[in-house]
Amino acid sequence: MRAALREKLGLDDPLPVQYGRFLARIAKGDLGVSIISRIPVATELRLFLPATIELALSAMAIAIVVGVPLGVIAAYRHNSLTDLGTTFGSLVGVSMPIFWLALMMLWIFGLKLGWFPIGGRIDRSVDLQVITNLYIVDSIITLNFPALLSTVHHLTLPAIALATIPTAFITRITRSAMLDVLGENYVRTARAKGLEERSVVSRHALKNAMLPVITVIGLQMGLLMTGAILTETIFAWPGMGRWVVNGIIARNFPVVQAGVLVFAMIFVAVNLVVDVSYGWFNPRIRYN
Amino acid sequence: MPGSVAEPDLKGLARPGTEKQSQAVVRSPFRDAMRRLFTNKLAIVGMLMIGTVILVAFIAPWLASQHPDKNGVFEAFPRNNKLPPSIEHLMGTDVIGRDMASLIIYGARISLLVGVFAVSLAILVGATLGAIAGFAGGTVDNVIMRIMDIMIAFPTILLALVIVVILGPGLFNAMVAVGIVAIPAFARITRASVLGESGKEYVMAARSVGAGARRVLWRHVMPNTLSPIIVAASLGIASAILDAAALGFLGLGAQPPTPEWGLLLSRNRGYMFTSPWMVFFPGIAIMFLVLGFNLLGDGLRDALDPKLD
Amino acid sequence: MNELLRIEDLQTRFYIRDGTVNAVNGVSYSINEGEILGVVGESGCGKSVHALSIMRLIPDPPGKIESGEVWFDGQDLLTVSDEEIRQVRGGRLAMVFQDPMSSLNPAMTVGFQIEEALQLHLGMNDQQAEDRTAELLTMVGIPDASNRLDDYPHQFSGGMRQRVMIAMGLSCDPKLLIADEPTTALDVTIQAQIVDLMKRLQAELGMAVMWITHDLGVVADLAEMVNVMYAGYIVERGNVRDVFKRTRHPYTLGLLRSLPGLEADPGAELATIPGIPPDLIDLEPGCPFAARCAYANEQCWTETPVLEPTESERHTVACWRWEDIMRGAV
Repeated sequence: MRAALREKLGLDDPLPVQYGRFLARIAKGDLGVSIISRIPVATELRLFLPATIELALSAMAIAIVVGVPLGVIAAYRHNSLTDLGTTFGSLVGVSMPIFWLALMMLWIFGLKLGWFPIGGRIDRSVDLQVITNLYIVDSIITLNFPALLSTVHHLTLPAIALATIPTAFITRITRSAMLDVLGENYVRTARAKGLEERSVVSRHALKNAMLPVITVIGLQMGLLMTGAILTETIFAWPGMGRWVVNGIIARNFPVVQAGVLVFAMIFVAVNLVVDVSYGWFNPRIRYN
Repeated sequence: MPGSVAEPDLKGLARPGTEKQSQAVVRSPFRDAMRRLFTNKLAIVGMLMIGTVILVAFIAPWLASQHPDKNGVFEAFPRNNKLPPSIEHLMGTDVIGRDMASLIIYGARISLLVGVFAVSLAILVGATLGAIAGFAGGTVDNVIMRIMDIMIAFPTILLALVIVVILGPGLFNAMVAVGIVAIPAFARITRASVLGESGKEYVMAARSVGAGARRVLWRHVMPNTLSPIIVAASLGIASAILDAAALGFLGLGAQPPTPEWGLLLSRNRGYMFTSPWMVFFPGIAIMFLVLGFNLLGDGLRDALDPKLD
Repeated sequence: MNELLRIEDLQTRFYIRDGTVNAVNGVSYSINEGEILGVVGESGCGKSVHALSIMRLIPDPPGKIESGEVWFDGQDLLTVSDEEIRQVRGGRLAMVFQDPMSSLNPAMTVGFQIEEALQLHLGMNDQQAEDRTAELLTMVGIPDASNRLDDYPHQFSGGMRQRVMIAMGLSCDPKLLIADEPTTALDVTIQAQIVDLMKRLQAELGMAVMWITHDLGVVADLAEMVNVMYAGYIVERGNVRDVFKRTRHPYTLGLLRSLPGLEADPGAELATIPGIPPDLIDLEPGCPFAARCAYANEQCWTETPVLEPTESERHTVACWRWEDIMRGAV
């Protein structure tokens, strides 16, 4: 019986052949069937991946919008109380276990204060026509305002929780990069031209400081995935992180395979974007 | 010759009383670094935090009010369950009545152990690989670094998770998994140091006055290589503790009855809404220790590689 | 001739971990309209710091302009508001820095960096600024200027970059252009070109120039007046002819003698001034050159000399014993 099964599954063929078959199937979009749920993996992926993307991108957006200005201010007010406070704050931020932070936030804002819902992506009472499974996008496309509101409401806590660590990293690297740049000669030249401090910092200094910052942003995507796994578990967010973790624990190989594939692809894509944006920030690289 | 001035005699030596100006204080870079480290307030705070936890771990048998038996099991007092913090139980009790404070005190030992073990493993393997890659160059270098790159590409938890699933759940396997995950960082640092230092001019200078390869390695290359490793070690311990706690939280690290902090968090999670202290304190403990190592790591980085202010 | 810049008792210090650095110690002089002044001295003598102090570009912390007055065009630059000093900087008073590669913003086009100043000080619109920038670049000798406006600094050679910096400095018709060692980072041949460029521009535009350098040869070639600085003091000041031919200060003398001459013996040792400059940290009173001076006496060690006129009114020297030395004393 086992032998027959092996032959049927093609496990007796040489490895290169198996690998080739694997690639061919992937190209066709066939990622196998989940051992546990018996649903095609591709289907589950289409359900869970957008949820995680929505969460991760929201968190990254928060991290950049909060982290970069904070870092700039800290660098500008070097050695002041603001600066020390920011430094200490970001160190605390990266020292917190994210699952604990998520739980605490859930408890305070979800339970005690009742400001935010404690699970799921959207109110069960709200109807949403799902197209891309990115709820924000879908609710905008279908002009479904209540759905948009509900989605954002549900997204807030997990996104903020997830954003904490990247914000801390981005603040630190922005501050450090800005400090370096503010000491450069061309900043002195800009001042010697009579430019306002605001101009000097935002136009002349920032662009040059962004290079290491976008490197860190790229690296943070990996950390975001890590954090997403734990955050999704706590906020009952139906995303990839939770799906892959459960797959690993249950030895659900097709799911694990798909997970690995997706993570690798995201990694490559993010690196590509980072490389391309290097050229925009640093003309020297562009012309080489 | 300028005008009608007589030849001034400038062959005179420096006048007495100028010794102060020409004396240069001889300082060793090590002592400089130590001075910088111990004047860095945040670093001192970090060291104190770590010291506190080490002390607590040490004197656990005298400090805690409850103690594990020889199987590591803490006695349950069902009648005292879910008590909020009080004078008797500073951090309250958990769902089966065990004193939270005692659990956390004994948990300190585990977290410290995990951190140190994992990072030691990572340094041992990582630095060796990095050094080999750096010295050998060529294909060996390429192969090793590509493997490292692949490892870095994945979220650390995921990688650790996969390793633990393969090895089986448990504290020791979790330590190994967390250690393995940290290898690429140390490999990269070591390789960069080896490559960077070999080309540096002071190495060539040392060799040109007859210093042999081994002397060059020990006296010159090693000290410069050690600094980034030391910094990475402190920060690495911080990450390792967080990662191990995450594994514990997912149920794949330490197993009950071990009072590992992440495990405590997950076991008490269900009761969080009514008894938040059961979740709050283990998390604070993790944060306290990790923050300590992060502060120290930051301070070390500033001390060992200062940018002129 | 009208006085354009007058500095009175400028003192600048830096507060660092090891102590207080006395970088500029009571510098006083003036520059007339259209005058070319050379400021000469070795590294660390305070020539750059005093120039940055004039423009209030000293980073605070750790630096601080302790006291003094800097009268420029009827205003004391050290007491005017931030907005007023910004108006002056880059406009009527401009500065060109030493290393053009690090002094130009690598992420911005050369055209933008010059147009920025034009729009700020002269209120030009985009087109006007572009046209004027092309003119300026041509004026400083950059070929095919209008096509190079969109190029980045790294696309220019070292000498070209310095010309760009000079164009930027000249852009708003400054009355005084301060050039801080503009040729130190360049090849000797390029150096000569830049000096010639400066001479030509100065003649054409009639602005005053302060040229800071450690190269006595450039000073002799370019400047009318010269300040010799040492340890944050001006030790000798006068027109070039007087200072070079009727040198009165032992330090200046040492500098001039250390220049290898064409008539010198090929195998002979180079003359040097023995000793090293004093540590500027917590500098004590007394002549800063006393430790290296063969003529220093009791007074020299305890009282700091002030600038006194010599035989000619405009030629001043800060040395207690200048007359003795001139008469051949020991």
